Amino acid sequence: MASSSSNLISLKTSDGTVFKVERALAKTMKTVQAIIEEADANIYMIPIHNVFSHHMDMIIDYYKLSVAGKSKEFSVEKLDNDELKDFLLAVHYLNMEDLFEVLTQAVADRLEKKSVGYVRKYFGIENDFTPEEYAAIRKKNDWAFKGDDIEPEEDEEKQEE
Amino acid sequence: MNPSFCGNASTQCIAAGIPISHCRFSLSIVRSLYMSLFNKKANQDDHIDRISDLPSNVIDGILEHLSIRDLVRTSILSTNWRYMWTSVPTLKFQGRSFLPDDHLNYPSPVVSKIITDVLMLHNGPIYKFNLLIPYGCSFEITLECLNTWIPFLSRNVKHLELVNNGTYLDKMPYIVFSCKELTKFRFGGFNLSIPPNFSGFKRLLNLQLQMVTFESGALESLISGCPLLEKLRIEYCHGFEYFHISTPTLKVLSLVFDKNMKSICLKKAQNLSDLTLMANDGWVPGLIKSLPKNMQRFCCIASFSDKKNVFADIIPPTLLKSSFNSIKYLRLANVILNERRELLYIVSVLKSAPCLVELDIQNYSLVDVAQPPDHSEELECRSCCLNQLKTVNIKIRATSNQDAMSLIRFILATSTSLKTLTFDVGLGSQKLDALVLLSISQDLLLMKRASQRAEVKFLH
Repeated sequence: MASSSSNLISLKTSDGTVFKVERALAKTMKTVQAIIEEADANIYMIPIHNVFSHHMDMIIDYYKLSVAGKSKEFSVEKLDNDELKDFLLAVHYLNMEDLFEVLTQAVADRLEKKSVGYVRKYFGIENDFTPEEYAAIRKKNDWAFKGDDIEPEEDEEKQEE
Repeated sequence: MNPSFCGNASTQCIAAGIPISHCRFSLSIVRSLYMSLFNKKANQDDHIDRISDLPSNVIDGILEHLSIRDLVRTSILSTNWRYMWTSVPTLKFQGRSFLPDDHLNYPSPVVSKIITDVLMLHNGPIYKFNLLIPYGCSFEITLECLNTWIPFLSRNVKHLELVNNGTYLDKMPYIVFSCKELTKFRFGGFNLSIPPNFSGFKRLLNLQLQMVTFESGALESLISGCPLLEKLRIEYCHGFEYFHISTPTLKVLSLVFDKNMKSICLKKAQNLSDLTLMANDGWVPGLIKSLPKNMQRFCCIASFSDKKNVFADIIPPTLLKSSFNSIKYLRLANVILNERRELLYIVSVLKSAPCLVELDIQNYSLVDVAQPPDHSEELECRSCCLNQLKTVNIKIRATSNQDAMSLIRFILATSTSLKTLTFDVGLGSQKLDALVLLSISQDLLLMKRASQRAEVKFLH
């Protein structure tokens, strides 16, 4: 029993599901790897907080695709913005470099050329500039704000008054 | 560290999901599990922008992927965000995401000032810097520009791309050679000469050159200054007629050359396993003097419109025997299939590649060879067994379908492990009529197959 289980690591997600994953996959999770290495004995089961079973499902999908050389086929299109953020946080917690790159790129793609208002909403940011400060920054970096391809600001006219 | 917590390690074991029987008591396991939870919370309190709900290094990760305009616009999100973009170590002034269609006509000093201002505001190391001038923009990356900008980058930059739109014959300034940390370097639209005191790019792994004019010996000096080079790509460059490489670390090479290329000699590149050769406007017979011994992927693309493009001319049979025995993936593009000599040549290529797993043959060429197709002799199959070949793709213009059929018959009869063969005659605007398509389908079905599992797909 001991030798067969040494190729699989048990990970328990926040919602209580236990996933048995290949050692090679566990190695891509630096957080988990650190726990394994610090352990004096073979760890029986590792809890992974902030990671839910639907996250683990996607992580395993990505792993299978990248082993087959098809990592480009992995897509998070079906996730809405909040789900993508949650998944990114889970992967960040597990410290998985490649998947982190993929997900931060996916978020950046969703923010590309969006209006400032949209980006504020996405990150949950409140605008605390005075109208004068706002106008000054806007003017200084005018080249970055202009362009037919950028979503126009809704509240721009209000700010500049 | 809370002492009461330490005292009750067994309870902590249970809470952490570790059965006690497996816990040769070790405080460190329990501690690290607890700390990873504890630290996460601490980090969240320290680093989280109380307004946003993402930790700062996640935000940095996202910002690194933003194009420059999107990145600079984050300065207006809130007072906290005003300077967040200035420490992102990646700056990408790339194509139309930097200068969209309505900005292409910005005068050069304006473009130059934008980049200078960004570099001056930036703080912290810059690991990746891309400047790719979009098509249609007249701005040129000049000596003065680079002399201003490179000093901001030279200490740390690992990944540098400087590509002019088109060919611009200003010399690549020597200051660029002071970027010692480069691991990836791409440049285009410059004239290259190597400074006399060039000590090399000791960490460079990936080098890509496009539309560069080499002064005499410049390419050789550059490559020999890169002892760790693994990937090299040279496209549409001028000023070199002999390409003899002996870099032992090189794994991937892609070379697009023109009629001026006289000799390609690759036998000394012992680790070269992925090779792509493309003729821009034809090639001279005997061009390839030697190939690497352990090639696994080989892609050879003849020129689109040259009538004298015969593969048989440039890779002689002796080379086939010595260099093709480890090839797993082979792609030949713009093969003139209705030249009997060429068809026989492809067969000899297949016979020299016993490890071949995937074959890709494409013909986009518009060339119509005058000689009438010769179907009198089918290709001899008995002495050949392609027992690793699994996937074959043949994609041609509708008019050359007859010659492709001879090749397909040969492949089906000799490939004992074949899984899929895809025959696509849809290239080009000329379409075959329904009767011809039907007769091709029927012929394909009737062909003898060495592999019972083989699936033949016919696309039109």
